[in-house]
Amino acid sequence: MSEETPRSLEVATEKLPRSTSIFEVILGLTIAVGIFGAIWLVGSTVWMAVAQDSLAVIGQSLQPPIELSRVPSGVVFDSAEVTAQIANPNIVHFLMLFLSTVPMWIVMIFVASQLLKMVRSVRNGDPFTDDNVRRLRRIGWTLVLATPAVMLATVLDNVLLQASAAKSLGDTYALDTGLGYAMAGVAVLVLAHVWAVGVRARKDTEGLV
Amino acid sequence: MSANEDGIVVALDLLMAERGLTVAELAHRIGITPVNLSVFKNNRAKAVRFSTLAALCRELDCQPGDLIRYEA
Repeated sequence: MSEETPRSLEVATEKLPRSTSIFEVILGLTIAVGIFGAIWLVGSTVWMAVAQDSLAVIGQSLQPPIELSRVPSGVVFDSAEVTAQIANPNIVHFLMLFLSTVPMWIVMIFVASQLLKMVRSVRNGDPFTDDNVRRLRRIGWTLVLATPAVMLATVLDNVLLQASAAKSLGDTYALDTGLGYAMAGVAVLVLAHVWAVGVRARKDTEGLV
Repeated sequence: MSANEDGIVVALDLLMAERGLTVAELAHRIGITPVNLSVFKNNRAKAVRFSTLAALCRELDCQPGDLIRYEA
């Protein structure tokens, strides 16, 4: 089978190993950082749950009307950001604190692992395969679907944590739309479509003499 | 000589034998690799460029119908 590989393809793949190795290293490090980060996240959460008797819910925006004490007369606020405290937090509260970041950790590790498999297929000399089309589609859909997942996690995070904090905060949670990930996903899906057409075109020319 | 899955039979080996040509020599004359010529000779090719077909006809002094035929 390999003796039928077109000469032009053989020459092209011979030039690739150095850049291929660099990508393999970068993606391997990304996966390692992702796994380490996930372990660190869980570990630090458990440690905080054991060691701390209050939980700071940082960066909560307040909308008008805002009433604050100890403010000089004549000072008017359009908006404000406060740090709310949850007294006697349990481990669920601490897990909530990181809920919105968990989907992106998972996405990062998954995307890097898929890209690593694609780079390895380049090393093997044949990246234009149906497997790589499927990998690109998986990456694209993962990025697209990560957007509502992050939004949902952010809303849950804010609602549930604030419900445990001061009631005066009300429903002032922010919504992270994460449209950048969705657009990246659409871009990857477009590339997957183009890649699929390329694979089909290549199949048409296989065995051409 | 058996037909491939599309019913195409390639008679290149007979023409080469009649003219006393080797794969390497004919490949060199028509400007393709011996590997690709071998693929065509052994009826494993999926398609043939007109330029390759014309070169084969030129070097073997034959018509395309002498090289390939269809069997249902």
